[in-house]
Amino acid sequence: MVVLSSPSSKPSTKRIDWQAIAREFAQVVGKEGVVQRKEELLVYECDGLASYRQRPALVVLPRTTEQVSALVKICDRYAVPFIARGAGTGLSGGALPIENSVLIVTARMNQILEVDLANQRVVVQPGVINNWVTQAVSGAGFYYAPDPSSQIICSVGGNVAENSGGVHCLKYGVTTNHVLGLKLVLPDGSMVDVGGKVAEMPGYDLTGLFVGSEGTLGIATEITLKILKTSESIHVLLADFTSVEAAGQAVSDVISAGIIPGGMEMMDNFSINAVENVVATNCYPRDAEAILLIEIDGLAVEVAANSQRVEAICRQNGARSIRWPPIRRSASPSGKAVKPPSLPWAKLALIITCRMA
Amino acid sequence: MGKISPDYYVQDGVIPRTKLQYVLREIEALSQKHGYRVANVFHAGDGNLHPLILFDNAIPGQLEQVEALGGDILKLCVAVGGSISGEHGIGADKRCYMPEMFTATDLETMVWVRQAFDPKGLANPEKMIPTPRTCGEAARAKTQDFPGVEQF
Repeated sequence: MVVLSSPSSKPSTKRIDWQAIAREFAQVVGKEGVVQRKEELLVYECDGLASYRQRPALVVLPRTTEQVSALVKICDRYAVPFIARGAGTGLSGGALPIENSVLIVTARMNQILEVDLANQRVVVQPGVINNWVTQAVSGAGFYYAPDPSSQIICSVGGNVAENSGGVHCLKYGVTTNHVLGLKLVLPDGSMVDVGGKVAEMPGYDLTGLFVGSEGTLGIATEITLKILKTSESIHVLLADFTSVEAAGQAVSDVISAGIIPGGMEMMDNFSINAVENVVATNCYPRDAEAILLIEIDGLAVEVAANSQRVEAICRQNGARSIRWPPIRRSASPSGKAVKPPSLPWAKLALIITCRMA
Repeated sequence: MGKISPDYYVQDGVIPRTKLQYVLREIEALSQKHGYRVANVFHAGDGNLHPLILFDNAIPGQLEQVEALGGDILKLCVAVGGSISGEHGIGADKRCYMPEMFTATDLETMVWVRQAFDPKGLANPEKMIPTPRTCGEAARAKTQDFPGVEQF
């Protein structure tokens, strides 16, 4: 196998004056924006991949693009590596510090800067929590589609870095399909805007390049997101199968029939029993080899027609039982709509509805 | 899952939908071979698997074995024409598996892009792209490849 040399920093033998760096950071973000006590640094030593841990030398908490730029310039001048961190929920260790590094945490960059409903876009700082975007616009009947399971705690900046997905990305695409533009601080501290407020931008697709670059190309400090109109109608179907193969074939057949469900989730027998052991929903048959949770969304007439077709396809593939839990939610006449639930919420909703039933 | 097993390790791979049945059978075989239970919960529609491998981190050596099983599942995903990451990213966890799905030229192209933005290599180094220092000669993610990183 071939491994490549890269610009990664070599372990430095020179002594780094962390006190001097901390003083310079404090001039940018104030003393309260610099974390340097060992016990306070502990919480930053890992992200969602908790099996690897490394304490950073310093943590800084900027609030603005200009502050991020100034901090990165200091890192550049002292030639110390920096790692951006959002909410620290990432599961691949993207925000894991390395030895002698600075962690730039975006938690205080938590402002929604602009909501433009007419043009269906929202500008946020990177520390804004994914779910806040939907909360900010749901009253007007809009939502932000990418919905990682951690959406109530993960940050939009982290979603951009990892190009996060979620249940509804089957139909609506992953983060990169919902980012129109970015304000970036490059690794030398310079500020640049890529993309814009409209979808079709000429030139290189630098927005596309940056989304999913895992913090290796710089730090996004303002993010322009696309928001979508909430579906008029949403149905969820729960089908159980006596073989994983049959459930898998049903998935393929639904998509082959030209139906793209809002979400399509499968759980195997082991997982079903794990859920039942803990929360006792009595929704999931313990002897099923697999269950499918299929969410069908869209216009009411489309949802009605596709629901019938999906049910027929599941039955053709030997579904033992099909239920339509009373999770059917639609945009209310007042325009106050509910965002389609993501996987854990879909499950939770099913649990709740089954208990109510 | 916490009620069933003290710890779990979640992997993230993508496969073509049509290979679902085959891959699930193979994951079961790998699970038996390695001796760890694997629960499958996944975004079936887009072929994005999230196998949850159950283990006990208090027992020395289990984490490494579970990572090896996770690595075998990723290689299986690549072998059927899929990918080593659906939505979690590569980060520190999976960079040593990048050569499973990219050629040296592919990876070199990525390094060029990275260098164009970050010639000094200061922005999140040691992530995403495998290097001799981080992955050595073997495309295996092992904790000892993270110098200075405390292992739990």
